Amino acid sequence: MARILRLNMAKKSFRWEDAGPYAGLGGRGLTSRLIRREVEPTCHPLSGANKLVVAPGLLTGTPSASSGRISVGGKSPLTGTIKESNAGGLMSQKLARLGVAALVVESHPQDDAFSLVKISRDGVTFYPAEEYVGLGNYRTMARLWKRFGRGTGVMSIGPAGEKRLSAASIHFADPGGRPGRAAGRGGLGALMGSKRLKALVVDDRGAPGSVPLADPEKFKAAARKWAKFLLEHPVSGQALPAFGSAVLINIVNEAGALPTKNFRSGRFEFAEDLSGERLAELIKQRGGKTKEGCHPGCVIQCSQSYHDAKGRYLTSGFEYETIWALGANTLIRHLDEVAMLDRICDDLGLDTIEMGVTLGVLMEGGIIPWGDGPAAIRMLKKVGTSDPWGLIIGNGSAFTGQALGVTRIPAVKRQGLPAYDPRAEKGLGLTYATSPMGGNHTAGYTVAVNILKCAGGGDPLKKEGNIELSRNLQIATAAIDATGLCLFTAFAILDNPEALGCLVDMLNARFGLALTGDDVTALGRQILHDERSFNRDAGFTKAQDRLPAFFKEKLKPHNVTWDFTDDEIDQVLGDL
Amino acid sequence: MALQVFLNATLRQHVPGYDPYRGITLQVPRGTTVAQVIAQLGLPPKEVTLIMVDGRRQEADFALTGRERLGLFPPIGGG
Repeated sequence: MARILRLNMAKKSFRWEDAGPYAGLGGRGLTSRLIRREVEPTCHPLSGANKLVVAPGLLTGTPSASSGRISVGGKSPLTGTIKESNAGGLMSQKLARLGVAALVVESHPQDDAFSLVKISRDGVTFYPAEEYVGLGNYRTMARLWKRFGRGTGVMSIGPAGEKRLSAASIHFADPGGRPGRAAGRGGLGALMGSKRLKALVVDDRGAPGSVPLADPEKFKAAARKWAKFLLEHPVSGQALPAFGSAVLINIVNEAGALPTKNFRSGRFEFAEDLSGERLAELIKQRGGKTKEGCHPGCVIQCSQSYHDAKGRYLTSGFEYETIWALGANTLIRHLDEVAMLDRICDDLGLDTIEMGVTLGVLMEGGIIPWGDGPAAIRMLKKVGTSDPWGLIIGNGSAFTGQALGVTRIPAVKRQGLPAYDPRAEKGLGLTYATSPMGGNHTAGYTVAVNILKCAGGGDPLKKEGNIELSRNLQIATAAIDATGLCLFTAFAILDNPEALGCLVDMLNARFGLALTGDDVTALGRQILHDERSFNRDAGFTKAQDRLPAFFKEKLKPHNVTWDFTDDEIDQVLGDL
Repeated sequence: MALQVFLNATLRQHVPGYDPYRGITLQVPRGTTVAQVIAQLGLPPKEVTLIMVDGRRQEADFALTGRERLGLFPPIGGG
């Protein structure tokens, strides 16, 4: 039975506990339940009362394809809401194999001394981390691999997290030992910094190759089918490995929903320069890699290594959202400049979406010109220093807008909005408004249906059908986030009813249960209920479930506005 | 005005020398369907699953005026 491992950062001590009230939970289901039960909703997110929770999913550590994602939770320093931020990398499977259901980082030391914690079969060790303080994630991870061995699981923060800036992310070593995988959203890097935890390493040598399976034969059969469903679906089997998630640039642009110049237009005239097609072409020309898994056992392989014009590695995990945020949103059209901004974010430990939105706000305020890549790089690099500009930018879009007196700030609950204009993708606008995470796209990704035509398709420009769609996808996503499966498996699940059955079969064979599809829905509802009730007790009301007023302006090319009434928005998750 | 066609992802390999910045300009009579354009360009119809006419998703039997912006895609996803 997997256990809970608690780290007390004040006493530099640890404690193993039976899962108790958390038995049977995993991933986002576990992080959100634990925070709901144990964290005072009104606490300051950077105080010792907040907890950082890291949990593998219910299927993580099994032979199931694409099941190695990790959930990171806490009260968000950016939004003040509950937060689950989901990432790839090496660590999740290693924690699961060591029998860790969740790692809970508690309290904080009285002094400013940072620690490094190692978890292995031999136990848990606290080390001083002074030698790593001030280093970016690239050097931190390289040094930790040198010290603890290649292939070790690493989770670390950069200077932004150390400075407790509210756009700071937490980075996970990918199979190449690079920090291209991040729990990006919601400033959880600042929470980790407040615990004075610079890095955590997980060494699973000597642990069993798989977590225990109640019915190994049934599991094997279901897992084989599962991999087949993923590989046979044209999105997870072909498009994502060939072009990465940036394959979306052209279609979202075509749909008139690619937010351009701080959400002024739905089309960017230089979208092709930022497209997945262009990205794949440059990678091939320069000797990078077009497909890589973010964790061992992933069959989708949507990650990549992007090299600069001289053929030197520049960045990885170069995603659609990142390229849009740092590109079309700021009018920066040169992919190499966008890649450099991405690398700086990964190194300093900053959320790429939040930084792209923040740079847009800086340009809105006239601090740097629109489309000026070198100026954006110069400003972003300030975050690693004590320059006040760095402190402003590193606290995200809403903070920066406030500092500059800018009113056009595309954020919900102070979290910068992602890569789809809510006027031309109305379903996603509802997810932005109502997700307990703040402005977030993965929480209920209606784009898959409305623009990409999964599950028969929908209409992104009309209100009809979108309340139900956002709601149903928010429930389903919460459940998938509890399993440790990558959310990109949802394309196969949406299009193939057998894939959901297969997922349920894997859960049943893993734990010896007899769940049905309805139980999965109930799990999703329960998670949202935990999260929304936390937010209510933290002081959030439906008045915060709203988009900024400027979305009432017409958006080209479709001349659409955000036209949901407050009552309609409140129907999305009103009963949860 | 003529029909402006943009090909995406793997569809580009079917049209040698395709220029993604300019797309393909075609003169087609009013009433031409998207399916006919797909055939005229020599694209495998089964690979074209997402059809965007002036930014709105349509089906292959959609009749064009001949002055639209047409985006053709194979199945794609991400997020």
